[in-house]
Amino acid sequence: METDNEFRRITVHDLIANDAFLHWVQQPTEELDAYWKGELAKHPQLESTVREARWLIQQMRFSEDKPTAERKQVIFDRIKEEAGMEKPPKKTIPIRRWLQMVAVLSLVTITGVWMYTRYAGKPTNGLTDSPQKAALLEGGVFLSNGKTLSLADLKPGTRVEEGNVHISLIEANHLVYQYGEGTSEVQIDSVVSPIGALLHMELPDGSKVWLNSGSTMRLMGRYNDAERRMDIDGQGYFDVVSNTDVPFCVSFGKGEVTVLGTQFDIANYPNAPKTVTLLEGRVQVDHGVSQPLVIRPGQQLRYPAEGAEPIVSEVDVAHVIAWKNDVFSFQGDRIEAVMHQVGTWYGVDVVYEHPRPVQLITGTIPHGVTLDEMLAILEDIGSDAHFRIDGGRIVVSTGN
Amino acid sequence: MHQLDIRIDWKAFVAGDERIFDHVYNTFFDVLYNYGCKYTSNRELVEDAVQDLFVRFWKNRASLNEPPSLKNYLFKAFRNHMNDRLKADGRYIAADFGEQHMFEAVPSPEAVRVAAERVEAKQVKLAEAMTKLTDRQREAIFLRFYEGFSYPDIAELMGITVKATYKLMARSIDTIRDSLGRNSIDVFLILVKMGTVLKN
Repeated sequence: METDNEFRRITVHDLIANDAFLHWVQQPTEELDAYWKGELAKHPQLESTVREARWLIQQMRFSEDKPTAERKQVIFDRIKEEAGMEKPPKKTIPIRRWLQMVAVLSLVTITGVWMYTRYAGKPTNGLTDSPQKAALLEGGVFLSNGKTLSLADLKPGTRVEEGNVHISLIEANHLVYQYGEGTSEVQIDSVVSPIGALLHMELPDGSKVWLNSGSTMRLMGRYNDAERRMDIDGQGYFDVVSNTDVPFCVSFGKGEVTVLGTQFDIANYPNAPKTVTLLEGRVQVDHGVSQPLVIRPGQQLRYPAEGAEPIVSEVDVAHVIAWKNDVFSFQGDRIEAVMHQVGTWYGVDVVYEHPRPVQLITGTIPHGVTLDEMLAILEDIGSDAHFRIDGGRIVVSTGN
Repeated sequence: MHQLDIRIDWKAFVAGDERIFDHVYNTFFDVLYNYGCKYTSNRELVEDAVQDLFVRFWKNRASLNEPPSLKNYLFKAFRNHMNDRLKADGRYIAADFGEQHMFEAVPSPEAVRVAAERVEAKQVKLAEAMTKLTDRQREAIFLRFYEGFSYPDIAELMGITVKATYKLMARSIDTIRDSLGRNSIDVFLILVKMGTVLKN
């Protein structure tokens, strides 16, 4: 901008393209004001061009799309989780109703862990009508000779012998699998836990498995001194007896966990991130694509999505395996995580209406409550979630 | 107007200082979200793209060179994530992304309504003029007028040359001026009190 001629040739386009000009119009400062007024005083022929450019810049408005603070926080938490970063401190919602329930049920607390008497509780919601769910409802053992033992048919303290397979029901939902005398070679093909209950099983080598509600464990080949292989759908907690000669291998989808002796948890649900959480010992996780990963106690390997690279992070293991102690455990969890536990336990699908509830939920609730009670508790604790049952599914909304 | 950009301690960020990450997120979330919502009314898709962006930004930080402008870097990376998501969503044809994608930036309905009530014909005409622009023209206008990006920034962001950016902007501005009728600008100036600054 040296000569008057150059100024004369300046157009609206030039001014709009000029960062200093744009800045002056949008965020004027005394300094910029003085500068541009000075220029205009020197070159009055520019005035109409400046006016038009200014007007265009000032009038050009756009709709603003603003997220709510809650959404911003929810996405932030998701990012932190997926990126394997430290979890931000969560807002805890007081669980008034839960405390009332505890009083009603005469529960006692010992060092922060809720102990309770499990009261007779099959889901009473009439949602378990579909054939698949009915088949899984009672749980059972499927044998290689084609026979099926339903848990409901076994009496506590009894033993069933099929060939050389001996299966004892020590108490409700606690099976012991042993090899014994028998004329024919039989083995357990798979074990299914009931909907709304845990199944605790001891394997022939003394290793123990807990299956969460509606989970299936398939034994591959004969489980013995030469081979310890299985796969899992749902969630299982494994307490493995050390045997350096025979690795204990659990497949979950495309992944496989190999251990010698240890305690770990695998969650393998189709609609939630798959996880492997280690409590003790050492496990190696193979997942097909990249190098096997070794995780340490207190760590969790998590696949944020199907086919995604796994992330290893430190977790609160007590929270992860709370289900094994027959409680729902929520620690500043999003509604989706809460309802995953609820849906899994009661064997009910969960769907969402927009907008989704955003408040984070914290608390411990015994598995023994019915679905109706559970939903009432969740609504009552001050969460913004609202539930209704529609077509055999739980519909989650904010109630608005 | 969001001309803000920030500089961060890149070494500390690469070393894993999450507070820096939090600061970047808090600074840019709103503007990126707003930008993303101009492409689509699908808010979940926008949220997912923001999530993709920040997760990658954190995970890949060690292999990134410090960008000269964090804002430019994040906008460009976010635009790519948006396009990936939109592509997956089947909203436009990948082969000719150029003119196929939706850029729905329009003057705020509130501004138009107020203008209409006050019979500020200019504002209504401006709103109409915006609808005559192509998606790319609207995006360029948005990036310039709303986000305050320079022409070279816009070129980088939209993957075109600086020369093409000047052309794109010039054509957009001419379309708007034509719709408004160039002669009537001066009449409107009385309303917007332009003179207060210029005549002192």
